[in-house]
Amino acid sequence: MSKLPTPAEILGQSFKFLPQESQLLLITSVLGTSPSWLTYTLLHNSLMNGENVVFVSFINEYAYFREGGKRHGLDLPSHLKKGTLTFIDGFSKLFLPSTPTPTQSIPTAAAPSRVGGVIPSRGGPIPPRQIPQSQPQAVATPTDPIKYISLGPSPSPTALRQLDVIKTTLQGLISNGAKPKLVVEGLEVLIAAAGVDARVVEDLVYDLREVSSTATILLPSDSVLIQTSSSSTPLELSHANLVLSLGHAADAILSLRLLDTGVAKDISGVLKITRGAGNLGETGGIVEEKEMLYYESDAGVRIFARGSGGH
Amino acid sequence: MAPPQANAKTVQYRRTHNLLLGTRLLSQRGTPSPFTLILDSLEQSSAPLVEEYISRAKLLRLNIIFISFTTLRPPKDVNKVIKARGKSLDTLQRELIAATTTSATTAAAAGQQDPTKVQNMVIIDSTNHLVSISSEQGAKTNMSLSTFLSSILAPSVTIIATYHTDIPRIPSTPTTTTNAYIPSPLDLLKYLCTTLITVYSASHIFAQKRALDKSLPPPSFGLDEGIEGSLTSLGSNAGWCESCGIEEKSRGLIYELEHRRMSGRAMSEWFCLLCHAPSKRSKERLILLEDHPAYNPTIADVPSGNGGGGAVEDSDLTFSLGLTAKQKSDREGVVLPYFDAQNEEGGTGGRILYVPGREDDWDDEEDEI
Repeated sequence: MSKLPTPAEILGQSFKFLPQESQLLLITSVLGTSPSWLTYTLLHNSLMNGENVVFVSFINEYAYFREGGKRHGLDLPSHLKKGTLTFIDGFSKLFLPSTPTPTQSIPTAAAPSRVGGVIPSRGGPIPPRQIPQSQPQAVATPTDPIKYISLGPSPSPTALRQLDVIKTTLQGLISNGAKPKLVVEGLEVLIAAAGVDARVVEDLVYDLREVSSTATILLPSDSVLIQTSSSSTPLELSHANLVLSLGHAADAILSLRLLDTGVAKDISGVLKITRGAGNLGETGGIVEEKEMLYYESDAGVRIFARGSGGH
Repeated sequence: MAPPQANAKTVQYRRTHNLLLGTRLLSQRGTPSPFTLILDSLEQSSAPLVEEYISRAKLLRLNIIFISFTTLRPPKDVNKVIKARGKSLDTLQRELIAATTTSATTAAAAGQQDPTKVQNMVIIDSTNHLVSISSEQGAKTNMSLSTFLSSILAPSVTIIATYHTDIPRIPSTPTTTTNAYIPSPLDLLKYLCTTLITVYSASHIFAQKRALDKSLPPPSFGLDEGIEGSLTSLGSNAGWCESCGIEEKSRGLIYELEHRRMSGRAMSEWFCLLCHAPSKRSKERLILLEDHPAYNPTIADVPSGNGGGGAVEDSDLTFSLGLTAKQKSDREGVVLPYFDAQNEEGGTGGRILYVPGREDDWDDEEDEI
């Protein structure tokens, strides 16, 4: 089992995840610095504390995270079985016709071949034959922990109601006033591929924040998508609008980027944490701003200060 | 606009006039500014300044109405929160007018002398969202941003609105061709407002000043920094203080204020909102930027005010270091030897100038040298 840094190491010792508050963490990354390890860190922390987590991804399927979690010592299938983790797959069937009846077993069995047919360019990280092995577990539980979002082949404004499944799932998990946590990855797909207005996506995030304790939003922040000019395309403007709007509301902005000076063999990238306006009030504890280097290897992820060499 | 260079000639005037006006605007006393627009960015949020506005308005018992587009945890001293997300401008306008008028009726019920005197402070957390819904729905409902703002502005209402300057606007659909001659919403807001505030992170301004003092190019921060994948810089929302912790420190910020008087004359000034009161005597956290020692190093060792006395009076000594009037006149009466040597006769050499007092025990023998 490999080691992951704890949220306290990343966000500062005094920062607390509160069960009630609607906190918002914005994780931004560039091409070449995958933010998955930060996701695993947060999932690991929450699931080990017995909190409910709803995990939504629009760019990866469950099998990707199952394998990735296994590498970091995170047994996602068992948490799925226990019901503490709910995975909402917005990737596999996003552009397939939505099935009106929630009979999950038949579509899930057919899913791998259809995924390959719809989005051929994106190869799954594992061979399709492994998926049927995992699905029976999911089907065996009374409430299927893997839910799917499908907007249909040509998404219309009414199809956006399909996104309500995230909200109803979160609402169903509120127990004793403690709200579940939420991790959403790949919201940019909705803007770029499904033609959803950035303001609708932003409102969706605020709606979800109301029913979750800590919402973690992962978005890419490559400079073409953020540093806009008057000649930028509507897609670039929409993306920058979403990222910066959420940045203004966030408690902390965690940005991953490549090393400014080029590639190094023992450094994967730079992690910068800055305080957002959401953290300036009196709740939640203080986010400590810092800039750290990180190195992702088979032995896990290590974060260390600049100059300390990671030893 | 770049912050001002320290100017010793005008600073005394501005310290008395502009600082007074800045304080009055911040605490909404006298004739407050009806529409204050605060421009902020990811580097420095307007939240600490809005909080200061709220805490001062609380003392004056204003009715504080918070219009929340993006804020889920509004500041605690707010009287009423109106959730504006997903609502149309019409609905918002009705709710807002209802909120401002009910405050007058409740004040009348509570037995206050003049219920019409109840002042309302309306805080808008993100004018960007107001702009986008007004441009979306404006064509349908015949309600533009300016009509919305002027409809809620009454003599008993002041508006504090925040606009995030770094969020790009998504152009509305090209079907609305009529808006080719309409100014951009931000320009319109800047024109309408009576006080325009731009907030800056204190640590960033000081870093730029330090660079300029050494004739180096000032560093850029945030999106201007141009680092791939980096949205914000270290020091964002952090404030600047040598003695406070992270939490208190972030209450400080620097802002540029432009206030337009009724006469049309405008006053422009840079202020620094400190995280704590500068001394025990004054509670005022607002100072001129030039009076901040980190910005203007020349004042760091020169004590302000009546030359040196202030520093001593502030200290916690158990005895008095000052002089009484008699002690002062006695001290001035002492003739020092080198003054005596400058007399016309050249003085009397190395003689000790001493006038023996009554209490002196004079010994004749020892003096015969």
